[in-house]
Amino acid sequence: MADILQVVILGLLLGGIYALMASGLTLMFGVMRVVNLAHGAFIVLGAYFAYWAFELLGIDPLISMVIAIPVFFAFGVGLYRLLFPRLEGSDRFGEMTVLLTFGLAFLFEGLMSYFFSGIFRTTNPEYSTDAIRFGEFFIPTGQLLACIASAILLVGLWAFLKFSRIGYGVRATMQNRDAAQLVGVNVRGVSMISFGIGMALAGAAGTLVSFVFPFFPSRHWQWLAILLALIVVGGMGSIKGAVISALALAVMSSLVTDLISPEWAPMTFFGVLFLVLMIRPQGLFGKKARI
Amino acid sequence: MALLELKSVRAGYGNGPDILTDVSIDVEAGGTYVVIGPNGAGKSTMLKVISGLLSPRDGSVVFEGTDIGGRRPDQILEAGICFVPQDRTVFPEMTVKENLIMGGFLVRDSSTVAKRLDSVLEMFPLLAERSPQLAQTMSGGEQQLLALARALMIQPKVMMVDEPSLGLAPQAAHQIFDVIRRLSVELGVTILMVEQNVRMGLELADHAFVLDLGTKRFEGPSGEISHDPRIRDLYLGAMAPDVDDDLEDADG
Repeated sequence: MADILQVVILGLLLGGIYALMASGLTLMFGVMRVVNLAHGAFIVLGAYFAYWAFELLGIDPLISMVIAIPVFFAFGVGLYRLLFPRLEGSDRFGEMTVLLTFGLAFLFEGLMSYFFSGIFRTTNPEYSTDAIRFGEFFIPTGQLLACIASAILLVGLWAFLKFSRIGYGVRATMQNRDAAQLVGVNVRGVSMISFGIGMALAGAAGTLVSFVFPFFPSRHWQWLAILLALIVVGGMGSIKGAVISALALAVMSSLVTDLISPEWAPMTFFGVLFLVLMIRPQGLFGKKARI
Repeated sequence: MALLELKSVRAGYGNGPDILTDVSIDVEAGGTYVVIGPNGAGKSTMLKVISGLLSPRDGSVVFEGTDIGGRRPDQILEAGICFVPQDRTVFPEMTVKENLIMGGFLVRDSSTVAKRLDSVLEMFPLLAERSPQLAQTMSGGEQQLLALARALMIQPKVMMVDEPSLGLAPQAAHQIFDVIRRLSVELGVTILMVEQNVRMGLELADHAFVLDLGTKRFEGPSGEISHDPRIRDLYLGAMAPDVDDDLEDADG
C-alpha cells in the first residue's frame, strides 16, 4: 500500500509540471482557436534558456524561471505581431495556423539543433539530485520545487484571469468571442496578450523541466503529444480541465509504470484520450462546439 | 440632422455576394425604429454593419456627424451604439454580476462601473436576485434580459436589438418588449430593432423600415406601414397571418 502511495506522490509531482506545460496551450486555444503545435518546442527553448543561464552564469533555474516570464512574453507578443495579423479574417484561419505553428516547431527545433546540438542536457542545481524523506516516503527535491513553482504560477494565472480587467477580457473572449467584441473587448489585442502569456508559461515550464527531465531539441514532439492529449481530455480551452487531467493522467501513467511497465506509460495518455473521445467528445470540462 | 444615418451602404460576408445592395436610412435621436422584411432581406446584416462586426463595402455610416463605417466594434461601442444580437450572447460561465461588469468593460473607472451596476440592478430586481448565479443556468428570457441590461452599462445613445423575441415563450417575449419600451421612455435610449414578430414590432416602434433583397423598400410611421395595402400584401400578410385581425381589433 505504501508503495502505491509513493507512486501516487511521484505521479502528482509530475502532473503538477504537466499542468503548467498544458495550461498555456489550452489558454491559447481558448482565446485564439489556435492549436499551437510549437508549444513543445518553446518549452524546450525555455529549458535551454535555464540550462545556459546555469552553465554560463551560474543562475539557479528557479531564478531563470522568473526571468523567462517577461522575456518569453515579449517574444510571444513579437512573434504574434509578426505572423498572425495577416492570417486573421481568413476563411481558413484554422488550417493556416496549424501549418504555421507546425512550421514554427520545425524551425525552432532546427535552430536549437544547430546551436545547441542534439546532446541530452539537464540543468544540475544541487537540489536536482536531492530527496526529502519522511517516514517511508521519499520526495525528489527537484520535482517538489518544480511542482510548487508550477502551482504558484497557476494560482497567479487564475488570479490574473479572475480579477484583472484584461483577465475579464480574456475570459469573455474564451466564452463567447462575439459577445466579447460587443461589450468592447478588442479581441485581437486580447489574442496577442494571450499568445504572450501562453509563451511565458511555456518558457517558465521549460525552465522547470530543465532540471526534472533530460531534454534535447526534438524532445518536444513527445511532450506535445502528451499535452495535446491532456488538453483534449480536459476540454479544449479549459484551464481547470487541463490541470485536473494533467494530475489525473500523470498519476495513472505512474501507476502503469509501476504495475505494468514503463513502456506502457505513454499509452495511458492516449488510452484515456480515446475513451474520453468516445464517451464525452467535448472533454471533461469542455463545452459542446457551437456552430 | 439625424443621429445615425446610413448612406447607400453595400455589404456582404467574406468573398460572398452583396447582402445589402443599397441601404439608406435616417434614425432620429430618441425614436424607436423597427426593421421588418422577409428572411434574407439583410436586416441582421445591417445591424452588424452599424455595430462594426462587418465592414461596409461601400457607402457610409454616419453617427453624430462622423463616418464610423469600418471602425472596430469597441470603437463604435465607445461612440455610444450598442448591439444585442439575436442569440442572446451572454458569457455562460460568468455570473450575472460578472456579465454586467463585462458590459462596463470600456468604462475604465471601477467606481463608475460599480455605480452603474447598482443602478442597473435597481432597475431589474430579477437580476439583482440572480446576481451570483452563472448565466448559463438561466432561462432564455432571463438571458435576453441580462443581455439588454448588460448593454446599458455603457449608457448607450443607440441600442440595436436583433430579434429580441426569438425562441421565447409569448409571455417572456412580452416582458422583454416591456423592458425595451422602458429603456426608450425612462432612459431616452434610441431603439433600432429587427423583429420577425411584425405585430409586436410595429406596436412598440413609432417608425418602421421595410427591407427586401438588400435594399429599403418602404418606410414610415408604424401605423401607416401596417395599414399600407401594398406592404400588407407583399410582406406583412405572408409573414404574420394574424396581423390583420389584430390591427383591425385595435382600430375597433
